[in-house]
Amino acid sequence: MNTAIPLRSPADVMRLSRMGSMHATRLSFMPTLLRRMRRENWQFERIRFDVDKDGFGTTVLAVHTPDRTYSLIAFSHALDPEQRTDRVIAEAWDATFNLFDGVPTDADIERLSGNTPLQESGRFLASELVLARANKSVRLFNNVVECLAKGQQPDIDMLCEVGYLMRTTAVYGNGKFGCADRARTASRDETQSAFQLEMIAVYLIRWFTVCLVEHVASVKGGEQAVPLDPNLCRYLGIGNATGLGMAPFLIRHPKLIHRWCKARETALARVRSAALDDKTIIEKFKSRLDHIRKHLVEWNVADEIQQQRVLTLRNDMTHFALSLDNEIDTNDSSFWENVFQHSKQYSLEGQELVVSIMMEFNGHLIDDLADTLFDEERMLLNPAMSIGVLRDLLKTHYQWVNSFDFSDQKASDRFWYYSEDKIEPRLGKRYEEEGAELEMPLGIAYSIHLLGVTLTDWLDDQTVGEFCMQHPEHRHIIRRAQSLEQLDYAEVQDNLLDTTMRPIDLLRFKLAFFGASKFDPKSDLWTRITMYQGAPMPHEIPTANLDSWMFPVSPSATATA
Amino acid sequence: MNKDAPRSFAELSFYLIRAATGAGLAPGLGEELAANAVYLATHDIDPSPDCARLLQVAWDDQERVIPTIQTTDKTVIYATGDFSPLSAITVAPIICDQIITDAHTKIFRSYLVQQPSQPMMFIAALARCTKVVGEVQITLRTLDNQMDVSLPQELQAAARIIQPDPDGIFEMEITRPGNSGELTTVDVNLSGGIVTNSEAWRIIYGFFHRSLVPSNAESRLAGAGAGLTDND
Repeated sequence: MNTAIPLRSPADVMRLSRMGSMHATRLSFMPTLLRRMRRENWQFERIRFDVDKDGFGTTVLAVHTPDRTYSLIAFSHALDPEQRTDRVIAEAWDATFNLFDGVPTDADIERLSGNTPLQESGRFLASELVLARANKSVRLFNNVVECLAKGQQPDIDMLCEVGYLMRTTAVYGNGKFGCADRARTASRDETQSAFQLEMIAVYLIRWFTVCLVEHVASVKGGEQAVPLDPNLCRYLGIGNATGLGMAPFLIRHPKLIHRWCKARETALARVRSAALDDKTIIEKFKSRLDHIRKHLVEWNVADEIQQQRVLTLRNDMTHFALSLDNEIDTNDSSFWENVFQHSKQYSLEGQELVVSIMMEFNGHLIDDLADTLFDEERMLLNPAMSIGVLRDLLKTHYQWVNSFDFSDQKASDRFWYYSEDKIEPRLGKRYEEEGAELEMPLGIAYSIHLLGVTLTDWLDDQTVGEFCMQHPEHRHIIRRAQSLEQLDYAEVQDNLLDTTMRPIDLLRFKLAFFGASKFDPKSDLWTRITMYQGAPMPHEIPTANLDSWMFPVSPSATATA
Repeated sequence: MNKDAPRSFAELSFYLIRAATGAGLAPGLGEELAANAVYLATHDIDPSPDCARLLQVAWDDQERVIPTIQTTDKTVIYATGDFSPLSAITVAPIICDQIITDAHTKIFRSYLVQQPSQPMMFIAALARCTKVVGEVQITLRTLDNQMDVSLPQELQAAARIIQPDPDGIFEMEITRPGNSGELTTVDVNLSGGIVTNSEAWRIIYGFFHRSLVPSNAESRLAGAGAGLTDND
């Protein structure tokens, strides 16, 4: 599909400030998956639920696609509060999971019962597609149990404040600890796009948490107990705590990131280019904006920076709502482009939220792009390239690196590394701490800068092969630069080693692509989020509105809206 | 679970790239090592013994990075200064770069690699090259024999020749046949990873561990999520 309006520039889009302001869109992985579930009439089945009165035991929840079955195997455990931590360095969890390829036999479950609770210390086979764990939100889980057991529904304010019964603290895929490599499932329709297996696992974990809480309440309350109200149930997402481990992924998979961003920007350009002929959309758009403004009122976090951004975002959207009545020409067929241009006066969070809403209303124009969110990560060095051509390539595609002053130590102050503490990814201070020689090569801007310095002494007609023989330390960055030459959105055009860099921006970017909401940063290094909040439960998928479940508002707010 | 459970290819790649860092190698060379190892693994050939040996050599002797390349009627590559083996980690990428450059300029030159250390890893690198340059012919010479293999089709045959006695190969001659313009692919195993040699893996893991930065109370507190209670 051609677009009359060009895509936004990578120099604008691929900056941490904007990446760290993005929101979920209908191209995000969770809504994409839910649409497929409905389209292909996926069936859900509770295969096994051997859980005691306290909720400890083994559960198997399955989803049947037209071609195969995926099963979530869940082990729920007693956990000493002293051991409950969301960090990578944790050793025990409230629940541990595998997504299994097919239906597990008793022998599979027996084998996994000795491994899955160990997480990184366990060993897995290619029949296991995902490994994950979760901890309870203790206060909400207990409150829901107590209320349901007494025949009452839980406290809505607490439910709204937390938003989930459990939060995952790691969801590993792609070959981790012996699990299946992505190549094994990459050719399947339903898992070709990025992170679809992980999204299936998390969706089933969310269902599991509801099964679990209702079971414990039922045993405790007996005949008096009631199940969760469906509206409350739908409002419960699954939490997640995400730290630095997610950031290296983005730098190591530049082709994939290009695909994601290219799809998103293509979608936006299509919408901006489209004429709006159906004027009834305007009123629906206004109504949806009102709903999202309520969502923003319920988005409150302790982090001062993020809370200030949310407050600004609320003001932006209030102004936007007024503008739709008296400033933006709603009779103009270029309505979408007018909205986009109007949004430029808002904060980056505001601009990106408007983009998300615009996309939400134009699924017919953009949903096909959800099938383009994958790529193979093969990167090849071209040793025959001349140094002159390489120099030109760097000038053309990495000009943004020149905006950083690497003569100032602050520009290379940080280094990314793996700690010997359970291989936890951490950030160090290069000029104060030991270990910089072991850093992960994530400082792309710095590596390009160093390459440029070394190239100074080389002649244009010499080759990259000759250069790499003398300077193998630059081989990885040359291969990368050559491989990404045609991929405008592959690089984060910022300095990831700068002393002022905020990893949280990288996390936000990736989590927005997942489809997460309620970003709740706990520092510059990690954040909590909510996934699938507002999404239909499995039995509701055939009839639910799958276009507008994101940006949920609390059930009480729904009732009064 | 049986400790001989297969390792996934992603796992193999991750550990080898970091192990190369632990052995003091540049990231780009670690990536080549891992890619070659995964290539072998996807063809059901366990690369771990070769990788372990190469990492040990790299760790023991960082100096022997750049070989001598002497071009007369054929290009001869040998270790600078003495008769030490040529490491596949550092030299295989150089040869592949030369062959790819030859292909770009339509040159059909042959290469003679003297004393290749872990020749199966050279073979893997060259087999990967065939995706870019087409078929490659290799002659493997032992003290009393000579064997020809054609890549990528005869990768398994090469493994059967080399793996029982990798030190027995004293010379490899590499040529690109004149009709090798067609790029080649072969089916690979994506079924369930590769069982690695446990002793070799112990060595690889040792180098991997060298790439981890020691933790202390201060760095532990600087980690994501530190200092907060999660019992909320």
